[in-house]
Amino acid sequence: AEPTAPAEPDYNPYLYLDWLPKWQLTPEQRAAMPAVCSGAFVAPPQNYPDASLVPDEAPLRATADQSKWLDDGTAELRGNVQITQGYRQLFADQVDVNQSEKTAYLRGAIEIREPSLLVRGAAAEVHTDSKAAAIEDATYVVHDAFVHGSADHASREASGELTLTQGNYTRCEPGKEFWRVYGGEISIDNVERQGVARNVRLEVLDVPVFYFPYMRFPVGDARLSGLLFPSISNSDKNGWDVAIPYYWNIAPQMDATIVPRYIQYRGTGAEAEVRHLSEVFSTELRLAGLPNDKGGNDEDARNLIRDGFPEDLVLPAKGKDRWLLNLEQLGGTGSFWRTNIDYTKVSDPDFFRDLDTANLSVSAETQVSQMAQGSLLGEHWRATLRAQDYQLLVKDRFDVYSQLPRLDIDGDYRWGDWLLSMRNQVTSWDHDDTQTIRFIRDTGNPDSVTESTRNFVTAERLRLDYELSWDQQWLWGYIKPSLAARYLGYKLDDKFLKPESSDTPEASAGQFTLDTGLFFERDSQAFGRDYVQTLEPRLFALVSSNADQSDFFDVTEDPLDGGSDLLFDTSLFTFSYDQLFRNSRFTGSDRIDDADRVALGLTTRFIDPLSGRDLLAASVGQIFYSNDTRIDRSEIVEDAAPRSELAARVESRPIQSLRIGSEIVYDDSEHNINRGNFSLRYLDDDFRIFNLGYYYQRKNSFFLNADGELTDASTKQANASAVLPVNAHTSVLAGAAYDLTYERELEYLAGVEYDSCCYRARLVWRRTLDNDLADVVAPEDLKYDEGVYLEIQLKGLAGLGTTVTGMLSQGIANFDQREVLKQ
Amino acid sequence: CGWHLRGAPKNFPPGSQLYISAEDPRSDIAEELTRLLQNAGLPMAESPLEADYDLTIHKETERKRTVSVDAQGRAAEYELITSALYSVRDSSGRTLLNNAQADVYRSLEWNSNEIVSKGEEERLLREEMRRELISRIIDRLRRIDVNAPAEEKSY
Amino acid sequence: LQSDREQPIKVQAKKLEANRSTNMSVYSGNVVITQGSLEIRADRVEVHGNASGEISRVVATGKPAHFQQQMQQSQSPVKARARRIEYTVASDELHLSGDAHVDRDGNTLTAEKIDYDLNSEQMQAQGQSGEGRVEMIWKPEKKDDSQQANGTQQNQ
Repeated sequence: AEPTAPAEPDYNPYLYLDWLPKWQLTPEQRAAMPAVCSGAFVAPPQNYPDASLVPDEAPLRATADQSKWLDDGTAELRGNVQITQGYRQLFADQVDVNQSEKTAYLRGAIEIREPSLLVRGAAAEVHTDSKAAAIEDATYVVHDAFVHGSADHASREASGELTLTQGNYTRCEPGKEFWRVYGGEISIDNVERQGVARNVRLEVLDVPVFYFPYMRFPVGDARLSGLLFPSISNSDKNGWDVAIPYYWNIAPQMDATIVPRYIQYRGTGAEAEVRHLSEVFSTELRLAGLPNDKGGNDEDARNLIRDGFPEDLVLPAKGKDRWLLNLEQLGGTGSFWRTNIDYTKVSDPDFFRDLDTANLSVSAETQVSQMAQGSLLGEHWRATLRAQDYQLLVKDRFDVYSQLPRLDIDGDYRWGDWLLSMRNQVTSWDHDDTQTIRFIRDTGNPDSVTESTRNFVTAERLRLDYELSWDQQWLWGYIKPSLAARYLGYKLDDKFLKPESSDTPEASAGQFTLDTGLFFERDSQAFGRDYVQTLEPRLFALVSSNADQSDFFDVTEDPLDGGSDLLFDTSLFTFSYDQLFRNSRFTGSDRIDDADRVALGLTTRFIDPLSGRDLLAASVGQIFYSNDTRIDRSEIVEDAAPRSELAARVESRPIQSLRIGSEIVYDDSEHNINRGNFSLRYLDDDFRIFNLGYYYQRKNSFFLNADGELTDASTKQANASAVLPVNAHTSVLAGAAYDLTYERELEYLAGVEYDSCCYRARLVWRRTLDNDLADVVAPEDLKYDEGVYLEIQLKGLAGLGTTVTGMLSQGIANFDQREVLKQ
Repeated sequence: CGWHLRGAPKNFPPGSQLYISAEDPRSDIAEELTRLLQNAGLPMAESPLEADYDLTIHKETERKRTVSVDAQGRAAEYELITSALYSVRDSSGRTLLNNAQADVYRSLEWNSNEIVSKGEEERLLREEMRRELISRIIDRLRRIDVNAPAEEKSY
Repeated sequence: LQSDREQPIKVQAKKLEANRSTNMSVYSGNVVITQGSLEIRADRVEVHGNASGEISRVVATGKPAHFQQQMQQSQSPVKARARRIEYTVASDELHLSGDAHVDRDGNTLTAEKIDYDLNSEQMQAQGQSGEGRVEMIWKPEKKDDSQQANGTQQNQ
């Protein structure tokens, strides 16, 4: 909307700061400035001779009403003196220029200008052979950093830094200074884009709020996470939770954020995040610690303990030290080697749920990955060595197998239409031979504490997949017949094996696959627009010799032993339209899928001929098996269904900001939908968000609901969320996720965001299903965690606290995209 | 009723050389996509100069959202999104696609008893999604009407 | 230069009109007056003498008139020009008016009116009231000869 000039253009009191209100800006300037600001600092254009030269290489030109030029080269200029030296301009009532000493002394209403810098003052001394200048009683503006303020004394160092003594600094619009920093000494480096301040007082609405002995902050880039402003929240479980982050820019390539944190019902701890960027490696290290956790204020846990459950099981972390270590590193930019480390370890499974890290952005799920990987990349070959383990964040389960190490050697050669791909993989699956866990089986019955022990078979696995294809592609279609040889062999630790089980079971298969498809098109018309419609039939066939994998089942004495069916990294792919064209139903490498089959799929797309974008794409297809015996994860199935489920998928993007997607998996023999979802995502340039989602997954199991009726346990969940701007500054946001199966709300989220030019405040109320005691409590009587979270971000000074933002990004789809758009 | 086999594309005809670069030096997407397309028989240029089309990936983001939870309130199904912001210039320097967006969505059923195998599935899905992403980018590059007005093109 | 005073004065001009009664002689037609390192070129030069025949005042006019003199051995000569240049011998002062411009070793001063005291090498510049302003330009230090002393304190 074009901002119209106010009826009578009111007097612009801040023109002396080069401040122009929005309606006086050019369209380009208006587009470049943040929507929530009401104007911008715009320096007048420098169109005078030598304006682009560096001062000490440019002639010093002075004009005045009158001047006295002494023999020693000094001159006294009087009356509206204007001096230019390259890109630097000086204005004053009186100027004495001493060319031999290379200085100019200015007095009376002085003004110094340089690209993106304006300083006004009462008097100044400027060195004509360098950038140095000293200004008394200064008022300054750093235009592109949107920063201004005043100081008793401002000096510009030869290095270009602006140092203020007894000065102040703000990024707010003139006249609407929500926050201002007062400092004994503040120095702003507009080249390095950072500032340093000593014995500093932060005032919000002229009320002193914080005192910092020493502070570094970003200049100009509001996105940069500078001094993270404290985040304050209060919840039943933790009580008051205050975290005060300090950002420390150690070196141009290295910075750290240290966050001391006080949690009322747990104690005081701290988090630290160190980031380092080098030519070859980018490393992020996160550490968090909370010594001697007081256990939090968990009423359900107290009831359980009162009912006689052992405290060390209900509150295992009480009185213990809680810590987290997270290392993420990427290495080897663009060269022939790459490394990747993603390692997280926490002191106990409940770490994330209890401490809900105030500032760390480590995603909390049911496990954390501990992976380190290095790969060498040749033109045709690639070798990857990986160590992978997971730490489980649930208490009633045994550890998983770790891959210490896994080596993949992949080769790809192409001669014309012939393609040879070679996959060689060796993995060593490790686990403690025997593990014991203790957990509460039934929260209703105190003596249901159980202890269970299990043995684990460790194994070395070799998997080879060699495939020769004739990959022929035309504009109108493609055909890709391939011959593949697959081998799978194990070397098992025979400690727990049955005597008759072989400790080196193996299987192999020769396979022929055919992947072929055609592309039909036609031009069509609908809703007054013309578009191109495509029809893309596709066929995928697989014929395989019988890979006798019967040795892989039930190899251990005790069928409950870990690894008894030699399943280490294999499960069934999530069935979808894409599954039709994969050469195996199994993920990982523990099974060779030797079921002969033909899959038929059809895709149609409606394409906008101008932008080339898919307005709508729909696909449907099914797999047809030739016989009914089929290898599965834990057995060989005799009477398997002749056809797979029908898989359908629709994705539509009628306009750029709206996406509608849906997937259906339909069992046409039993006439059941086995899996289905629908999602609508809307995000536009005015930062409006609207989301709808429904997710269904059939389960053939039942449970007794609250009224004692037998209820189908299939997953039926819906969510909706929206962010609606009320005006240029205020937006209301809300989100809800509801579980129709258990008739319980999963998460309610409501809040308001006030986004002003130099600060943003968010107040969010959240009520979410608390799955802390999930392993201890029956699903229906899981409790809720409710809390109000306030977060204030001072743009240009304090970066974004991640608690509230993390919550909103998880609760509202595309919220993180909106953050990026809004900057 | 008008159906015909797909003919020659408007741009990026078969045999034209493509060069892929990424703005973020840390990301391996440029090498991965180049290797993927080489294996698919697409002629890849060694440097931007010899390329008929120059694809620049400004930003690649991989996102993962919990979309449904199990009885214990833990993640049961994830939605994986791989998206890219990219631009394409032809050898004469003309910009065919400027800051265009492409994204691929996939569902991943999760089971906290099968963490290792489901983690493997996620890794395989991400690879498939990158393959789908580059084929969507190329498909759009082939179909875009270069002389259409700018807002139509980015519509 | 010091020695200029003792040098003979040579004058070239197209026409000379001497007028005994007013002790003024007027040279006109691209007049050139030289005395040692001093040189005045103008379209018309009035030389006013006193009763005893010594020159008291010289007024040169031209579009513009030029004045040049070497102040010291080491320096390049000071050049000045203006539509009207008046040189008063007694006070050894130069009064330039009308687009006055002085160039001293590359540093220049432009103004409506400049008074130049040749002894103290001090200049006073006046802008015309209103638009005409004084302009001074100091050439940048060349990196190599930055220690070249220009304008050290020097008194006649």
